[in-house]
Amino acid sequence: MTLIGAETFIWDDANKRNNVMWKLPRNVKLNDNIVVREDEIAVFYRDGKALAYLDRPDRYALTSQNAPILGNLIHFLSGVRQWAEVYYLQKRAFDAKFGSKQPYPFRDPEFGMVNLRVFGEFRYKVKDPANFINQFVGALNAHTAQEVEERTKEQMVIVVYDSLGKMKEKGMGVADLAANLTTIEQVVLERCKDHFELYGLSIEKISGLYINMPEEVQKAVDTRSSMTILGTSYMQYQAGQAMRDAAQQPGGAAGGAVGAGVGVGAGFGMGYMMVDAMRQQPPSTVATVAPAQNIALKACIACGMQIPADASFCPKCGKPQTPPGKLCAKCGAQVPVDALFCPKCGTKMGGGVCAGCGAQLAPDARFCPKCGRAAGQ
Amino acid sequence: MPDLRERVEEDRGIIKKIQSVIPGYAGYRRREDLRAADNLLRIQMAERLGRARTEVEKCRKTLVDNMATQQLDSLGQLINRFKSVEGQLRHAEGGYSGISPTIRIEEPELNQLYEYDLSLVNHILSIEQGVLPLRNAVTSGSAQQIKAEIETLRSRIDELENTFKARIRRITGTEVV
Repeated sequence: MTLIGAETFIWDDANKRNNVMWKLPRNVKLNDNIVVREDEIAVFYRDGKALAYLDRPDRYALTSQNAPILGNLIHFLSGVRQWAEVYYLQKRAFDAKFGSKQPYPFRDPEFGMVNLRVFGEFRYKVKDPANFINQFVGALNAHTAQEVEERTKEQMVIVVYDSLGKMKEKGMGVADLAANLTTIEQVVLERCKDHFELYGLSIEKISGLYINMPEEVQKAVDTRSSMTILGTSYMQYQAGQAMRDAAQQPGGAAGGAVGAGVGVGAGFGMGYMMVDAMRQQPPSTVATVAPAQNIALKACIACGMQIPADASFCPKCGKPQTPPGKLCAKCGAQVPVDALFCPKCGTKMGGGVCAGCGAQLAPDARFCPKCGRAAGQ
Repeated sequence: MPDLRERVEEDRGIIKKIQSVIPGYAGYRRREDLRAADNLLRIQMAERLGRARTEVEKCRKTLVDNMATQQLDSLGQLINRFKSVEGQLRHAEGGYSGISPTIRIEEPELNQLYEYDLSLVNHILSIEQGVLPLRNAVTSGSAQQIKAEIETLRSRIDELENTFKARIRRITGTEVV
């Protein structure tokens, strides 16, 4: 303790870590010195008025009426003591995380209503000390970085969604989000100003922005990306996928040899179709491939899916698209005209048709099982 | 344009005045005041650069309001360059050397340092002048023009940064070229 009771204060590192603000722990006396470092700003209040923003690094000697003799005399005579205080604030930026607690619906022009979740980090710093002290310290009694972040991260989520909404109005869909993250960041940074400057905060950077989409939408986006890379239409892409799946599962539910036949057949058929499709497209137009609706389509005879008119097999169910030649007499499956055995139950084919009622006859049948007419008559 | 060195000297308080007449302490006081003047000058320059950055941020606001997102990314990078150089100006070393240093910085060097920093005001002026064409380009909405103006500003900031970074080496005559 000195003769006049003045001290030199610094913001001790122990108090500084993770604290955005620190208030000098006692009433400032005459000639109390404070040291303001490069990364700090101090605000000197006397009797409730902000008298000085000490934002230049230096040592400052402060004045107040709390002098050893004069101050005590005034206090003794009137009971009044001048109140002088110093708030330290950090100029350095703090990193915080934000994330949506629940998904937000986003109406996408291609995928319809999509639930989005956003996560990311933001870097903030005190921009306007007076506003910060009034809003956070005065109104909310928040001093630590954690308390400040609690108040701001929800707001960040809202600003991100708001920005996405504005960008959607200009034609950006969920499939474009990943390619536009830095642009989204700039939009959010700019829109943050309106929301955070009144708190005396500025958002300096947004990083690690991650926009999470539902699995099915993500798959669709992936498909679309693959199509763009390959330069194929949706039908061609699906056909290629079916070809790959058929080749990977030669057995399948239909059984070994027959399944293999379907798989290989589908593979060849689709492969030729893909090659033809690729040949028709010059390399320079790969990214702007003709849309699927320009291709003539027909419905699959088995599942009804729209497939190219010249497709030999359905890319979805793998069924051959040749018209049914005849029915298996045993299981009723459709069998190609030139098949010797039923691909489903293995029954020998070649029984012919009843001349009386037109029913399919088994190869070894002597009479029609429907009308009783002798086979061959 | 005021010479901040004179202003700092004139505004010495009673304690500083006493210090400046004490033999052995007077040199310390004078060097300290020169560093303070240089610090004040650099802070002013950083603030001017900050004001120019604010204008560039207004350009970003215009682009965001119009949702003209094509050049937003490069404009954001430009703003970050502004912040980076602004921080360098504000927090640069003040020309200090201790007892028996390897390279001594005395009063003449500190005076040169102040003058060197003062000469950088021309660079800042050039940057400030580059903001208006950018603003016009943003208003006109020409992406090509915006890109060109961003490039111009960026090169001017790079030039300022390169000149500023070499200040201590040039003042002390230690730059190897």
